[in-house]
Amino acid sequence: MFVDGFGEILTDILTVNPALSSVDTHFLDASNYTFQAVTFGKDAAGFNFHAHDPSTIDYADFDIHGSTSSASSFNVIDGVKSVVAINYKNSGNYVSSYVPSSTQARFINTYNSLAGYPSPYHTRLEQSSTRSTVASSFSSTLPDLGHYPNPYLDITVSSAWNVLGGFAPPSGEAQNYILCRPDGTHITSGILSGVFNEYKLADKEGHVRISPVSGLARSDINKILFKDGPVIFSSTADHILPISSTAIAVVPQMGDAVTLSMFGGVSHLGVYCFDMKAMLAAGVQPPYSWNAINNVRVGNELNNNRKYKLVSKVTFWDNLMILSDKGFTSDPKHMGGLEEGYNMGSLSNGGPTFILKFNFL
Amino acid sequence: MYKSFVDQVNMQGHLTIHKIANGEEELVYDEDNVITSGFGFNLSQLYSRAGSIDILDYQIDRFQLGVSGNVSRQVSGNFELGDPLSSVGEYTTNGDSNLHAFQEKIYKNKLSTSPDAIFCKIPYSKVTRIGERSVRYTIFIDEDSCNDLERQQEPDQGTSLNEIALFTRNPTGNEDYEISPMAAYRYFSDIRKTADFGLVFRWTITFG
Repeated sequence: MFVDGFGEILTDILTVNPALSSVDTHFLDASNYTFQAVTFGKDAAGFNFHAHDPSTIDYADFDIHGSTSSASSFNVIDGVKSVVAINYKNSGNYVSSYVPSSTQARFINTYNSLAGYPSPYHTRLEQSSTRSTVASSFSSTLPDLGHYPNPYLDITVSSAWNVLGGFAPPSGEAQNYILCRPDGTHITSGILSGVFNEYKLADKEGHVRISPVSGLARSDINKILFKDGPVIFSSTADHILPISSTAIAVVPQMGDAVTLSMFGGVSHLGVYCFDMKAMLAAGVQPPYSWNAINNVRVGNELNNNRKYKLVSKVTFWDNLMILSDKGFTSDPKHMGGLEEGYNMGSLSNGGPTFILKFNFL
Repeated sequence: MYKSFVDQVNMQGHLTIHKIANGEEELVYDEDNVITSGFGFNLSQLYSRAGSIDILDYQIDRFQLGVSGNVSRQVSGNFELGDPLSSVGEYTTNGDSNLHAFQEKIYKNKLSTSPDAIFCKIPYSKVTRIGERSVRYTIFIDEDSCNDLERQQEPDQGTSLNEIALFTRNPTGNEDYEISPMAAYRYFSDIRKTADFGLVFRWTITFG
């Protein structure tokens, strides 16, 4: 669904002053107005359940240490920050997978797990607050973006990345996920390797930038998706042609797929263009090169000067990150669960591919 | 349920035509118009990153007037006027005309070649943002423009203006010549243009 923000971008395009070329020709770059980022979202209430709920620490830490931790050290187990969730399903083909619907069923009296119905008037994915109140003991203001933040890169809340969600740290951080049974005993665990942070594809607000590569056919996209983020492509076989339409392919994979799943999954996807006015007002001039402007680390934080405007969103009743155990075979491709299905610690496996098609006719 | 792009973004066009004579402005036409598929082609070139790298190539900066409009052309699949003015001289009746008419090419569809066509420039000063999601194009046909048109099939009877369309500049980024797709079209009641009056077309396009 296109939202009103797209109409604002189209009006910007039709009214760009040609005289700006005398200031800097980059003001007239077509790329200033194309799709630039995607975000992942879910039901607002879910930001206080699933792996966001620090009460799970009580179980996980008890299992390991025989005692519970204080709320100020959420899910730090043996000195390692961990994403911890309880698998209330824990049977059949769902033992080593996280099943968001089982958490929803467990808390059905207090948890409205439906994602907000989409409207063209929306400027964010969820209209209700997506601030995790269960982590309110942190002194800093916690993000309320309407979608998953990337607190690992936000120096003010990075210490809580493992309860705020939704992306995993890079492999070098050696941080964990732990899946528990309802009684707190350990089911499965491992080291997380997040692609979006490994390759610096996401900013602290959870905007995953779209690759600047153009002219891709569908057969090319897998080579790009892994390290370069979501891509725009064409496909004759899928009737995605530049005379009428385009498409974005995005894959949450490996550690990111594991954490997104454990934090309650994905039921919104958002697509963004640059908010040129906001950037110019902030003194950020084109060209808006990714490496020059958005990928400069200052300490543990990206110097993120890019500002985005939501132009399209898609909302699902179903959770896009549903997975199950497939049973063990010698071929890892046929293994399921968090460990083998999404391959949380190995930078060698993919996750689900989401394709967003835009028809302009 | 499938919705067209125009419906998805609630894109609407509205055209008014005023006659200007002796300093008086008279409303002679006031209707919605059709957004044509050429505008979608324009956007698909931009958002698939297949087209021009210059955003000005995606702007509506030219128009055509014609003399053979009809209701059947008011469909989104239309890509050309029924009978557009076919020479610079038809637009600029004499040397005092304020119009800037020129020849480029018109985009029909992917299967057709792009034939030559005569367009008139819409100066940027006549492009006005009138809200967060609305833009208005003002086209002034002065007393010295488009006068006393005739067609062979109607000798000595005179021919009336009755169709107008807006075009984007050159979304494919073609370097040899500009190829312009039609973005919006409107058929209107006959106006036999003479040197006695001018015409003002105010065309507003709104998104949402």
